[in-house]
Amino acid sequence: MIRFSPRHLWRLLLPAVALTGCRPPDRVEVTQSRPAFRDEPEPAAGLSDQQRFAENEVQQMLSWTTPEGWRLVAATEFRHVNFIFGPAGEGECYLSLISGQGAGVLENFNRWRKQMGQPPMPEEELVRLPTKTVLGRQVLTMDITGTYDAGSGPMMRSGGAPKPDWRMVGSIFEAPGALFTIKMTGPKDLVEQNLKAYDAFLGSIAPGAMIKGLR
Amino acid sequence: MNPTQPPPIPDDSRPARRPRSAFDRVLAVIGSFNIAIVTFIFMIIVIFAGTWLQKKYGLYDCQAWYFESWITPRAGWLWGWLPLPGMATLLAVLFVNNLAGGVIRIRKSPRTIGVIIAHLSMLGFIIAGAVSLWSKTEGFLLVNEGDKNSIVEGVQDWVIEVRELSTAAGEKPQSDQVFFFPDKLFRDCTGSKTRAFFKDGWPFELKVGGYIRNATVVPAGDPAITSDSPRQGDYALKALAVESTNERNMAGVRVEAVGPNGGGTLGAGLLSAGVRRPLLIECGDRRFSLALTRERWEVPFAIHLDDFRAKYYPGTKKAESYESDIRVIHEGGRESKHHISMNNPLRDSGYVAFQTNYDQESPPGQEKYSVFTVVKNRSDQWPLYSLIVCTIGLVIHFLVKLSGFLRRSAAAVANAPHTP
Repeated sequence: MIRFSPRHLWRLLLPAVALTGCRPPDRVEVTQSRPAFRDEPEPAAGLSDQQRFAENEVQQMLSWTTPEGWRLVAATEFRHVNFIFGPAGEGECYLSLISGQGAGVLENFNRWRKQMGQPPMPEEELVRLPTKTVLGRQVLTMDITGTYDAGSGPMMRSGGAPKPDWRMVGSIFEAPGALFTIKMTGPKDLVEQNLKAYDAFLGSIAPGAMIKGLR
Repeated sequence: MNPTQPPPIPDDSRPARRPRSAFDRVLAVIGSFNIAIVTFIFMIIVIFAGTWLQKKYGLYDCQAWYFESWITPRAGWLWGWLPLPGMATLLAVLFVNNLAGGVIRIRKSPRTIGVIIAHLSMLGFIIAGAVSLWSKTEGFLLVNEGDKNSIVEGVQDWVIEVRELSTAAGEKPQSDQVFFFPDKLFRDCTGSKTRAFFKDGWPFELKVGGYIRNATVVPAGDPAITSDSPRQGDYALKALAVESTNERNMAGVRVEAVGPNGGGTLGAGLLSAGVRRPLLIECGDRRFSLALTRERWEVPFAIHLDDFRAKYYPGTKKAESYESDIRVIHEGGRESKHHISMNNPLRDSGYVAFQTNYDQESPPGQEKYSVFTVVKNRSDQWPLYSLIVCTIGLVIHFLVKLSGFLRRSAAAVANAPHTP
């Protein structure tokens, strides 16, 4: 007959409980190391967070400073650097790079005008558009107010019902084999409040190694 | 005494003498059958729980909670409220109990030599398990066909690697060592809890916090990001559901380098196991790269993959068998050819390399790489030796018992009354 005593159980468990109570202290000295492996190169250093966590090639190619109050959100197929702003994130600003042979500057401005319920403008109007500085060059910029109807489709985050009293500020410039577009939309007042942020964003865009030749 | 009744069978496990001294009394308690039986009952429960719950929690967690712990952590309590002793505790208790009762206290005589040998072999099993638990290294070595590799990557745990780089002016770093510390030292640093890591020669302390076991880096404006999410600048760590297959979990953590003696922030960023590009910390001219990666180490030879072959079941991509022709290249250029297949590992320089995986993405016949599991375990063969010793002990004990039985049977026959 086996006689079981609770004392035996405590003898078993007490040392175990004492051992598991240990946690590392708040400051720990690093003691483990290894020599660099044979032929192990130094890791690529000096990458910005945007380059380290880039979601696409455009993010790898560029660096920028996100304006105060803007929030970077996930890129989409046509929004390579994508922000929202405003209390409910109703304001949007995104940068796209369209490579290859696509529509030109005028066609894209007129597409945007259509989204704002405005008639297309003739080509001679282009030269009268104001400019902003991006990547050290003067870039045509359009600023229109109207009813925003982005249409629908998977890339149209702000799609849905037409939005009256909205404002769009957009800049487009061509680079060899590519077209950059930067577009900010939102309720009129919200866009007004973010005009300086838009300029700051444009001014902060800098090239990565891959597009230094665009200068 | 009835002459036909066999003499009583001696109880070999009976103590040789009654306990007298305090030491004897302590020995009698810790070497008692009661403790052995309670330990075995707990072992049955722990083995059952650890095996059954693998379906729910995965192999890695169950192994760590039940089979490699002193006591099951909170997450592994049965029904959420019942803690169990871990297998390490049970085996430690069994070791002491076996040593006290089965080796020290047991009657020493020719009759008990087999039992003592068997008990010693049990101690051998437990020692082999302990040595394996605390010193075994295991990892994957991936080699492309026509290429060579000598770097093994750990299987389960993550480490933060800190490496000093050449200065921007091209001057060599002060140390050519790569320092690292394992994630078991900061797994509890979730939420706002942080822990500082330091090293003589570093111009900073590294505060680690915001640990998430399975995470991905997303832009901070992601709808899933909350004010509690670890973040840095435009990016944040988004917690993902923990995978039961631990190898699929990609840890994430936030690090901040602060100057010594409560100095200011020198740099901060997110480290993600899924992001290979390291974080750079600059302190004056000195530059350090930080990365969250698998523990890596170099074996003292390189494996060159000459050819990989897989044989598939007809009409499927399921491999029936696969094998690699390799060359082992040692320092100094000495080479030897080997063939590794599923049950035919390579043993070299204290390491064992098993064929465990291959490029399953490419079409059959066009596999690009082979994967070997490389194990270094100094107690690799000890269970086999213990088993042999155990067998010898049990055979001796069986022969002792058999001879006693035959002697008693012969005596009983000789003493039996003759009937006409």
